[in-house]
Amino acid sequence: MSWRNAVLSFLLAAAAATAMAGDQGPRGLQPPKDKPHRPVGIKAVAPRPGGGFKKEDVGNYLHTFNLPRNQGPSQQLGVVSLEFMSVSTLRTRIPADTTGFDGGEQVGLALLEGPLAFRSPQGGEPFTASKGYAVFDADTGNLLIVGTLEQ
Amino acid sequence: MKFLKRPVLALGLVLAGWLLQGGTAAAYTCWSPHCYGIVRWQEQPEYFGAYTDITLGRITCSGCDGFVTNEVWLVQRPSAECPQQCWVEAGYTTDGGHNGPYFFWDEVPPGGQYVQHNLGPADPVGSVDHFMIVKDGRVSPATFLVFIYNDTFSTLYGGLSATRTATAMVADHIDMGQELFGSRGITTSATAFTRNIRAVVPLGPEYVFWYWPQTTAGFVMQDMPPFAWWDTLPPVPFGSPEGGRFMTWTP
Repeated sequence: MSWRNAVLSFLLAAAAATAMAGDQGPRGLQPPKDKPHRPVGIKAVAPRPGGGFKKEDVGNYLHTFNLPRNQGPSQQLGVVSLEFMSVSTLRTRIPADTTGFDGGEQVGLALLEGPLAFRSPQGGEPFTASKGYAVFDADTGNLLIVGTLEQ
Repeated sequence: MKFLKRPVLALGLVLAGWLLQGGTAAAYTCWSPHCYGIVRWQEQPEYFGAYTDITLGRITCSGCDGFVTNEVWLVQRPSAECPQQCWVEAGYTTDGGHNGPYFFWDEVPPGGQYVQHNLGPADPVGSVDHFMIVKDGRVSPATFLVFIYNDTFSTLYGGLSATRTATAMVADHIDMGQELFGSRGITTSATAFTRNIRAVVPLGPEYVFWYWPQTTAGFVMQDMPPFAWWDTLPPVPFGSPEGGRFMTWTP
């Protein structure tokens, strides 16, 4: 192989390696930048005529339908309290994300007791607790957020 | 739980399993543990984020006694701060007690409790929705951002999962696929997961999800139902389709 061919081969190999390295670097994807939409939740408690709902309405809903993705028995769920408040106040009461909500919106916070058992990823044990909460849209009665509380 | 790596074998077993059940709605006993048809990637020391496009398939609950999901999970195995695993998940689901398919995301952060976020009705069957979970390195300790959106942003839900300790979740695997709970009434159409990619660094000030496509078949696990298989294996990096085409199904 002549010096000329050797140099040419080296340059071609270097160019190919550079091109391959360029192809194999990470690529970028832009996450959304706009403000997320306000969650509407899922149909849950039916508001009473004239609007609003009460603690027993939440209890009836839970006993009939259970909480989403809860393995605990619905009949053993109890509603300790139902309190209406702004989302700003809710943020001081429970450790749950409220992305998409404005601070002035009204929600109903129901504190719950009873065996709660929520699914975990494959291979894990259910996340169990005896206290929890459910957050409802104060106007529609839709269920927005559910969580467990420290014992 | 069956562990399958080869897509042709997996698809063959899917069809065989279904035919053995008479080719009708699958019988299942998925109380505890739940049943899964998923792929798991666990080759990396840390997964900084997960993303997939799900072409929303039909999921129905006709007198069912449980629920079904199609989704992606970002998970840290049990540790001192995550005694029962920590995770962030995003997907869509239907169940026996609530309106038809809806979007959700759930979390158990380090030192934290379980929280579920029920967002709103899922887009129509056939829609392609994007599901992104990414570690946000712009804050300390890092949080995790969740996005569920479509191309027009007519659907755009967000979320933030924050650690309750001094350290953020360190995800050691990604799961993706279908979860089934209950014993009757749930069926789904074959549902495709495409553009299966993982973040290679936390989100930085440039606000870009820097990614590498999944290039391995991972571990496919299926309880039949749900059935799960690779329709198209993940190709070489940045080949097409990016990250392959993974399927789930409960007939």
